Amino acid sequence: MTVALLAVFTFTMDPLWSIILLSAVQLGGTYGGSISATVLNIPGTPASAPTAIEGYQLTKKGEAEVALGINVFTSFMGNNMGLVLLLLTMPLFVKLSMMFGPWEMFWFGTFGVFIAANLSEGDTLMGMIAATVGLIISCIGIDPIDGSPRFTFGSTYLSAGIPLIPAMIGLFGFTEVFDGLTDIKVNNFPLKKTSLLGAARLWWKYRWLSVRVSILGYIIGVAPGIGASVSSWVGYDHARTTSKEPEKFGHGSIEGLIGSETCNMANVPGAYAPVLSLGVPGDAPTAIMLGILMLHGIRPGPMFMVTNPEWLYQIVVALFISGILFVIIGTYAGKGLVRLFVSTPRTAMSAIVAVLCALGSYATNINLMDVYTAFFFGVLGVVMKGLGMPVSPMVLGLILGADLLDVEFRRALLAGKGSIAPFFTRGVSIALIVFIAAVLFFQHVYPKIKPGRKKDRKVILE
Amino acid sequence: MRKPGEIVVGLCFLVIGICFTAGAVKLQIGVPTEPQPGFFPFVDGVILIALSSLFLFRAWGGRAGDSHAFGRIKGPAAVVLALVLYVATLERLGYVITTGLLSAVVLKVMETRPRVLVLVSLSLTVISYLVFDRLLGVTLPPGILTAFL
Repeated sequence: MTVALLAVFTFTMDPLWSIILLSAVQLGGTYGGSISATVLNIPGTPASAPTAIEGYQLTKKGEAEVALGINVFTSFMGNNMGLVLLLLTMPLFVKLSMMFGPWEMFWFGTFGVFIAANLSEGDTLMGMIAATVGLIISCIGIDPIDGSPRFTFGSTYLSAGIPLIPAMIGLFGFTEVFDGLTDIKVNNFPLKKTSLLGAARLWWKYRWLSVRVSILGYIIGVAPGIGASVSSWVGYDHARTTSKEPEKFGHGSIEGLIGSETCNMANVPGAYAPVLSLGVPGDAPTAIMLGILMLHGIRPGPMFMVTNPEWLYQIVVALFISGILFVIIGTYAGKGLVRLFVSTPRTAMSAIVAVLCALGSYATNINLMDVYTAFFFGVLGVVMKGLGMPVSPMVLGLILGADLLDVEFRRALLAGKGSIAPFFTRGVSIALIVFIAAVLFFQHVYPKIKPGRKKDRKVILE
Repeated sequence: MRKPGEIVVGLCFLVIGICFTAGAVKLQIGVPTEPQPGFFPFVDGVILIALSSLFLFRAWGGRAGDSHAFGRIKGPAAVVLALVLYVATLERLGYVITTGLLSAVVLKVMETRPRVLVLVSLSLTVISYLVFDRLLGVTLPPGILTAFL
């Protein structure tokens, strides 16, 4: 939203400077969402939802500074690794992104559904129901292909679909408020102090995880139309499935934070590859930037990078400097915020979070109905919590549903003139199917059949 | 042991799935090679019916998943009511008055002392108004205080 708001101010600026300004804002906004997610359990952006799951648990344990330090440091490293990958692989990924069609996007969405099932916190059936309800809710609104209303019941508000930010504020923030009200005999959160160096040491411990999720985030960024909100879940899921301590996930896992934050920050540089080289935006902010460039009479495309190679380097430098700035601001402002919130009595915190939830959902579109939406999802979140049903798969269902799975499936069929064969015969589709099958095999089948498992069981029994 | 609560929840999901599937059929499903607007909701609805049937089967057999007991209900119910009234009166009464009242209700439910309640409600309302309305430029409804704000 900030990129869209600031775009107005760039009309009179030099085109390159306007892109540099907007890219810095995008980067700062992507990182900034993790602060409220960690301290208040209110994700500032859809991409910071997995951060809220682990970060807020760490805050509850008194490790808010550790969580914020990890957020700021891994975000910085994720951004840097994304930038290095952008410089190294831009020509290769440009070719690859040109091979991406609706068939491949559909497989990406399907991969997301499997991730949703993985986020089920032990009860896969519950998680799958939550994900399906999320997919169902995402169908509400105007059909993106033929424009007919779906489940809107004649409401103008519902025609625009269920807004994601108010829904997430409800599922995470309001749920926290209601939860706090059911048990008022709570103490203030403790606070263990830590430095950025401490966070850097923790990051070093999980550096290879950080490298892996950076590559994942960058690839997702290059693929047009998926965005950081999906990549943070992919990174989180990768961290969870490769972790030696999966039991810590959902209870304040450092690996979960690294997975989510690194992946969504590496996604930002990735989204610049298709917009600069093909004129195809990788996500919503780059779509706005493309619009700004076109307003200035610049049309990015294959020849653009040949004639203006300096643009890539200048954007890379701008994003790197923005990264340094958000480390400084995030470290000091974040610490200040944490100390302020932790020292505030818990009773007052409930009122603050309630007001911020209402205000945050209202401010998204300056629409009162958004407050109702947040409130509805808050009640839903409390009911789900009471039933032991995880909310994360529902959030992922909302993200993946109508905008990705439905649209891409139907686009693919329209493009293939009704044939489903390209889903299984296109080279990139086959590669994605093999990738999904391999991930599923290593996540669900291999742990049950791997050599040594019987031996392990024997040792435990003894 | 059968869990009546989970059976009710399973039935709720089943009904949602059936209603959604019926709604999708009304929208026109089309055929897999030429899907219409109802196709994706129809698939989702059918999946929900299948999953909720499985859930019901499991709850009936007594192998229900972990559920957490709800805590106090009275406090959250008061806040739910306050939130409904908040949204309903926000434009008419304005942000300052409604937000002050909402935070006061939350603090009252949390059994805060009256003096702290007034202090926190007042400061929270004023600070959030100044930050969002004046600093960030988010137009918050002035309501009956239009002349003063």
